[in-house]
Amino acid sequence: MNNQITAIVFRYDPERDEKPYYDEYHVKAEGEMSVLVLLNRIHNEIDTTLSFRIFCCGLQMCRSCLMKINDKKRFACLTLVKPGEKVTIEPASYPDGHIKDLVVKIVDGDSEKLKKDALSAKKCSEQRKATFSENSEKGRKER
Amino acid sequence: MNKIKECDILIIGGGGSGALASLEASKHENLKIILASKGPIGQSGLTPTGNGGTKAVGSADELFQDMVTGGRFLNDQEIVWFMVNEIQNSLERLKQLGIPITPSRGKSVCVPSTETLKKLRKIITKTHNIELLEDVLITRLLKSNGTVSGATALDLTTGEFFLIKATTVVIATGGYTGELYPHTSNNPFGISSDSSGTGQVMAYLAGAELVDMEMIQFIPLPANPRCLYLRYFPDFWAGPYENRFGEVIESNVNAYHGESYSYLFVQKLFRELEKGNGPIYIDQRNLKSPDPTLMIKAWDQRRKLIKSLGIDPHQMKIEIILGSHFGMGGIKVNKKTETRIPSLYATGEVMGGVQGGMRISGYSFTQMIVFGFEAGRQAAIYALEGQKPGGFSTFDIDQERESILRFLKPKQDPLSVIELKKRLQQVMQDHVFIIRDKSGLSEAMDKIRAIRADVSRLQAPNFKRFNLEWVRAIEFSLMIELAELIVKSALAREESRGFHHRRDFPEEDNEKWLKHTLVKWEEGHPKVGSTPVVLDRLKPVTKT
Repeated sequence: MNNQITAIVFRYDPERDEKPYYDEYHVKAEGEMSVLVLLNRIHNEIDTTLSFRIFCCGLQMCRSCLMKINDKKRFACLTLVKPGEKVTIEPASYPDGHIKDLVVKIVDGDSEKLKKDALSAKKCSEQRKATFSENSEKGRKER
Repeated sequence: MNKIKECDILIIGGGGSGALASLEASKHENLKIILASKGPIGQSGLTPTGNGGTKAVGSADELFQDMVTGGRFLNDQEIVWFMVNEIQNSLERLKQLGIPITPSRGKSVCVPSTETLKKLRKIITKTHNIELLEDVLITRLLKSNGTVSGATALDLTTGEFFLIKATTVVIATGGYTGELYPHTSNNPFGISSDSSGTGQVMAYLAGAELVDMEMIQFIPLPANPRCLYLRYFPDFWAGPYENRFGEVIESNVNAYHGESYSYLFVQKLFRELEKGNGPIYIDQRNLKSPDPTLMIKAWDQRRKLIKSLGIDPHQMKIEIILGSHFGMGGIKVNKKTETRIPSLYATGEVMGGVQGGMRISGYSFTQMIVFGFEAGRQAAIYALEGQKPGGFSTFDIDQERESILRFLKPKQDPLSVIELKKRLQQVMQDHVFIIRDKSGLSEAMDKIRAIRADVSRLQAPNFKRFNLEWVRAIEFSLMIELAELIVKSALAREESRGFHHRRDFPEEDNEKWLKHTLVKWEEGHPKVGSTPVVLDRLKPVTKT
């Protein structure tokens, strides 16, 4: 479909889910948009259970929206996706400091911390491949 | 039992003002300070969206005159006089904290917003007597024997409801205009910064007065939210502004006091749109690009960033819309940031009466910095006087917990926050915008009441951890009160002054209305009144 963006989003609420899983969202898109705008649309129009740090300084300066986008750490505020594209969105850090879905704890000197996490990024990507091949509903506990 | 944290001073809000207040108060080693912010410092609130321009150059008299004539004599002159005399001291103290302050254009210096907050956050985390609570939403102030004794809080990372006991509370929660209107400068890239004005409402419900809530600054904004930071192109807002027929509406905004942020100019654009001559564009394709060597570094970086998104006002016409920017109204305080509740202080944009009927660009950072320090100093003096924090009423606490938890319960006919917020924004845009009148405001009041009745239908998904919808539902229940207070104040002011323009009372009425509107919560109802502006330093020139 050329008028939508496919987002594959890491989901995990440690209080309610046995393990992380991925949700796939199809978002109507009239043009290219930033990943942060995309997540906002998902939250407003499709799924209010999704958690991420919404705040946007729009300047790649505040680092609030740093997350893993297609396996690389990027700022969601200025990473653009086009209609027809597929994008994978994961927390900047997991399991260290992970709170829920895409939200991680803010630590002082976040850049140093994140460099260390680069190692676990690979692990995360492998885990995704393993998890996503299964039914993503499996991660959820009975609600 | 609820968890209770105790401190001498609770500061609510992690923008510039709250951060500075916490550092100033922490100089007293024996005081324990809690700084609670619903997002991380530097990654939440409105301070990071500011471009850092801080009016500080020139004599106190010049700055005072600029503000009070711009604000149409509605500014609290005692507060303004203190502020313009104190700004140099305050900047000096910022420098001592290691904040780089660079000269800027005109009467301004640049205090880089996000960089400053990051630096302040670092200092705060190393200050042993400040406990920083990030991702914590304060939902209500608690009272005991006529003073504020603490607050109820929600830890967003766990969903835990807890209490904070405090001798003194400083509200530094920022502005109230961002969430009320569909278009706003408060939301970079169209993404909500959740500047929902809950601090004003919490103070009001605790017995503080709100002043001049009808005074909301509207400004021209790029229609495409991605272009918001076009203001980092110097002179972009100078125009020329054209209507859809290519006719120039204004080519010289510098002729207005306040330039493109002037109420007279904004009203002119609004009338052009009313005539059906929109959309409005800024067309600078024939102008020369500004010389980047004349720009301060941070601005040039942002300018390049906008360019990298394919936006260049020298290559294309930029469509302009009108939206909300700043709330001149807010909590009534004196120059010591004291409210009428002895233990309650307010600082930053949440304060009312500083900017009067129009805020001139650059003075909000001045307000944030001067009164950030001052609120910390005054709150510390109060806390050091040795008053013990009062008790809590279990009734209030239980009621608040129920009020918060109600949004997680299943509803028969549920609504999402975004549905209700869009309805409210439409009402504000239709009736409480740039030009108002009695019938429109009355209609707004009815519609707001209908929306308020639907708050009971708000249903957030039922989980506790980082539940954004839940937080927004809690905030919306306060925002709807705020909307009503704005409309009541706007109905009360039967004249036109600054950004409050009444079609049915189009003249500035210095005979009757050199007054602040006041709203307060009395016996379970909002009560509207007014109080004269004290004009002891500068009076308007009477027309003969």
